[in-house]
Amino acid sequence: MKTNVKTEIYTNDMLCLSKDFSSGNDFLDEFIKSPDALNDGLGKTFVWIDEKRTHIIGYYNIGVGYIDMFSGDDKYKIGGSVHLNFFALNEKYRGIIIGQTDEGKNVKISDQLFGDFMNKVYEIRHKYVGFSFVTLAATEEVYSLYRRNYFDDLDEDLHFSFKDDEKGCKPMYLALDVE
Amino acid sequence: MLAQMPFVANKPLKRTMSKEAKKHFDSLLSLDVELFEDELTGELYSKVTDTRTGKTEIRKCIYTDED
Repeated sequence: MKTNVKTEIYTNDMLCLSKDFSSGNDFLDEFIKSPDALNDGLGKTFVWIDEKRTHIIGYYNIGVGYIDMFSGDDKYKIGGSVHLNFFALNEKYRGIIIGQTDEGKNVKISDQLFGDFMNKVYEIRHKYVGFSFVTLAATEEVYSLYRRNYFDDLDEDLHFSFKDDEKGCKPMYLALDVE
Repeated sequence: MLAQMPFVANKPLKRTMSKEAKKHFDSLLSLDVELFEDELTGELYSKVTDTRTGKTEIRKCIYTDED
């Protein structure tokens, strides 16, 4: 069987495919099955779907945010961000190495889905909205994925607001301007 | 009212993406991937094309315990 992966905006007619989606994280699985995943007010959901539209391989949901800096009692805006609200890969595809980067680092399917998200980030930044950072709140399980994709823990003097469901996660960021 | 919080426009951003990270994303984002499943064995294969060079590599996927 050949699986050509396509990225599409998540729409109402794909809700039926979400019932079989299982990432191993109940919270992420419930999200893609809920109307929230279609709510533009919460974020925009993009899915990785096979060409025959039989199943969802993974998904991510993008929103916006801001990084602030504390200086004494004052808080300053440092720069706008795209915030990765949700990121999930079907557990069937977890941990699978599919290739290598120029530096010889292994590329997993999760990295490829993450690369798809980053492609979207660059497209938005290049064509539509300017911002400086990508932010996310990492659970312990996916912390290593973000670290190997060059995300850093947020410095102590920097801050962004968490969503309710992100409490207990580790705030991370990636600057997009190149040194 | 223009904004509720001051924007530090005259302050350069302290944080930038390293050249190493840029190189990583240039490489990662150039990979075009197709997955194949052997119907007899169920084994998964990947066909990865580097869109910068056109070089294609087909390999058997390796399973690990992490993400």
